[in-house]
Amino acid sequence: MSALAGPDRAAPSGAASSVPPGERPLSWWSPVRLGVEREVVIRLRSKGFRVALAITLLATAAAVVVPALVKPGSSVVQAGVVGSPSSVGPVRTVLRATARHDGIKLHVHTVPSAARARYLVRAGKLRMAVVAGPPTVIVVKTAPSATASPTDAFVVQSSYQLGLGESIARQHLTSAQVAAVLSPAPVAVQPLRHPAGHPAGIASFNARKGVAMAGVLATLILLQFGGGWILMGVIQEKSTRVIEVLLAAVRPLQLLTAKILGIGVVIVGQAALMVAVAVAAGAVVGSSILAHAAPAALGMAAAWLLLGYAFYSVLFAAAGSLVSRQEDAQALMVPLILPITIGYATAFPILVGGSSSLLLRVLAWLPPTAPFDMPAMYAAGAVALWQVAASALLLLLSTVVAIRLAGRIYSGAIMRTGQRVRIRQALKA
Amino acid sequence: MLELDRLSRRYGSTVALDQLSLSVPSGQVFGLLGPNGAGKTTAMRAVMGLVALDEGAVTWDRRPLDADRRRLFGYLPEERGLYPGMGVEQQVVYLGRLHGMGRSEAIRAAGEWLDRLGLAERSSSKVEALSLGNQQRVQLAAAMVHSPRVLILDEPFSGLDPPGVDEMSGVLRDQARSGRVVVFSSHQLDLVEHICESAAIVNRGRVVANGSIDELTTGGQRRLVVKVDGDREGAWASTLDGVRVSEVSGGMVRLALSSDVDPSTVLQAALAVGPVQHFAFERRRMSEVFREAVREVEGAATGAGPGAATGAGRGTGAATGTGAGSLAGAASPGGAGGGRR
Repeated sequence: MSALAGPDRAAPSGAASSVPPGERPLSWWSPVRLGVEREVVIRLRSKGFRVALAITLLATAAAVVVPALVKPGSSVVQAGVVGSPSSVGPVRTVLRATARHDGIKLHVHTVPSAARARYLVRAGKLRMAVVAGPPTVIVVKTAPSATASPTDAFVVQSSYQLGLGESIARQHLTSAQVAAVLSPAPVAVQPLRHPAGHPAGIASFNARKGVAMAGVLATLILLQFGGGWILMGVIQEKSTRVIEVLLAAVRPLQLLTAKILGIGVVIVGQAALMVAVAVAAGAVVGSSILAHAAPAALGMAAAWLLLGYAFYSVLFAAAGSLVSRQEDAQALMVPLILPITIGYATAFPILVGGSSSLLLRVLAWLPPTAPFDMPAMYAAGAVALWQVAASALLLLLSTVVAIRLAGRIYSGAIMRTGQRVRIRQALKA
Repeated sequence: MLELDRLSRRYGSTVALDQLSLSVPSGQVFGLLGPNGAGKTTAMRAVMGLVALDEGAVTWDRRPLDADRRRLFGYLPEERGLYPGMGVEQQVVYLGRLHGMGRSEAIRAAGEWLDRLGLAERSSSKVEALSLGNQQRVQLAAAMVHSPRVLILDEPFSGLDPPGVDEMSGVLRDQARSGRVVVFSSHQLDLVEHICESAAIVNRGRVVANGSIDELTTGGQRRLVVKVDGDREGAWASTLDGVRVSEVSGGMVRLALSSDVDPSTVLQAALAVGPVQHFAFERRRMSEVFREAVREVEGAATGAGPGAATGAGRGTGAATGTGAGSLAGAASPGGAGGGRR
């Protein structure tokens, strides 16, 4: 090799090229774009990332598929009908209309005799059997309770609907009149207190809670992923000393911006994949949760994820810039992971129990926990949309402060190796 | 022309740079020499904008430096650093592009440098999979990929084997020949004196000597190297007036002569001990230039000039006696691997 490097040999790489690259004007964003690209590419190439992504997506699919398979209400209700052809028709129509209204999947079988129907119900082959009258009778194994399960509620509802049909029939109306009476337009339901934009339907309300729950969980997972990557990435650049090579070409804030945006792109992409998998899995099993999930609910979950990421990412980066060794990372993770965990843990009582104690209300307004507790509060119907917006604004303002502070800490600490840098030292530099 | 004008930087009570001033002309290899802790790295970081200065300024072609102009600089930091998990070529291309190169341009330049440094076959390997020597080559390629007009190389020779040193000095010379500003630092003064054409010697944040290698090594006291058969210590010379034993190595006694000393009196004293096998004048070594400059500066500053560690050149030179790199022996026992992980 020494022969190659003889003194007479001309320097390679266009030593005499007309315009050296550095003399071209370079926008502030151009190195940032390169950094973003690097962050995305190294993750996509990393085996560890792909494994973690696969696990996350499998878990997402399972979260949609498993409840749909386990939940009795979502299975198909098998109903039998006994009677003359003329009486069986209207019964079928009433059952189907009721099932559609209640969001129940129904399969109606014609059974030759009442005795056979009783046998099938007793054997568990049929959930219910309607013996067309008059008087019409619904045969079930155990007495239904309207509040026990959607299927029970359906049985009770059907009994009223069929009874309505019978009483109309006794009025000797024309068939057109009967049809008109049996397909009423529902009167308006006016809730006195519910958050704006909330449709009154129970199924839709539950779907919102479901989406909020999924959103809270996804926010937890993605903030931990993203925060960890940022922390480790910053420490790696510092501990391998590549930082000095980078800072000879770019400014600290460009480096910081590139890292946060690059990992943000990966996080958002991952969230989009999770939604896609959830929707696809929901379509396969016919889960009703997603069928009712309005885009607005998804949008809100996405907005809080982004806000949370913006707030926490800069803090993770600042924390990473304070230490030079991976071993020191653990101690720094704790104060950042703790509020994330608290936010996540307190979102569940809100969603499941509809609880909105003073503590939870406070947490919904505090920037570190708002990304979890505020969407939960909204889904539970405990706050109005303007309150959600106000809390989001508060988080946004805190993020602006966090960015300024973290930018100064990062710029001040990133070139200091060795001992852990104190925050005050970093701010002074 | 790169000019460092009265650079000062303190870290608490430690003075890293103390009014350090220096002009580096383009077209020659310029050495920034001095013991560890003299301020070389801080000065280079200041040039690269990585250290905030308390005072002073760096100019290039008489204009101040900003981020845009610094992108025309190539920098090899003392503490080498690359992304360990990133591919060799990918990494060099990335750093080229951060300096403003287009994608295809960066790929071509990276290919050329990796080729020249014998790394063409490893271009898709991860950096962490390479030997330390090859990692150093990648680091050099990363500093050179964007055809910098000014090269700032901090201890480029440290950790290199002899072929590596030749390779590095070849690159430095080529760059100087094509009209660039080439500055490198080293704490091994004697090892690099044949590599640079001009040098500044720094100690405690100040330039203590500055000039072409010729000017530096021909000035000062005359050096006489004497070998007397059977004599290992050179004790005979220490009694002579105006003669100082600066180093003894393998029976070769290196003497510093005051201007009023007649060499023939030295020859007679030597002959009185035994047959003289070697008797010749030599140029000053850079380590001697350094020691004498430090003694002068500190003598002027304190009057008495005990000069703590550095002033005791006589003793340490004789004790370590390793020939080249004796300054490294005196100032930094770590030697070549000093700052390496």
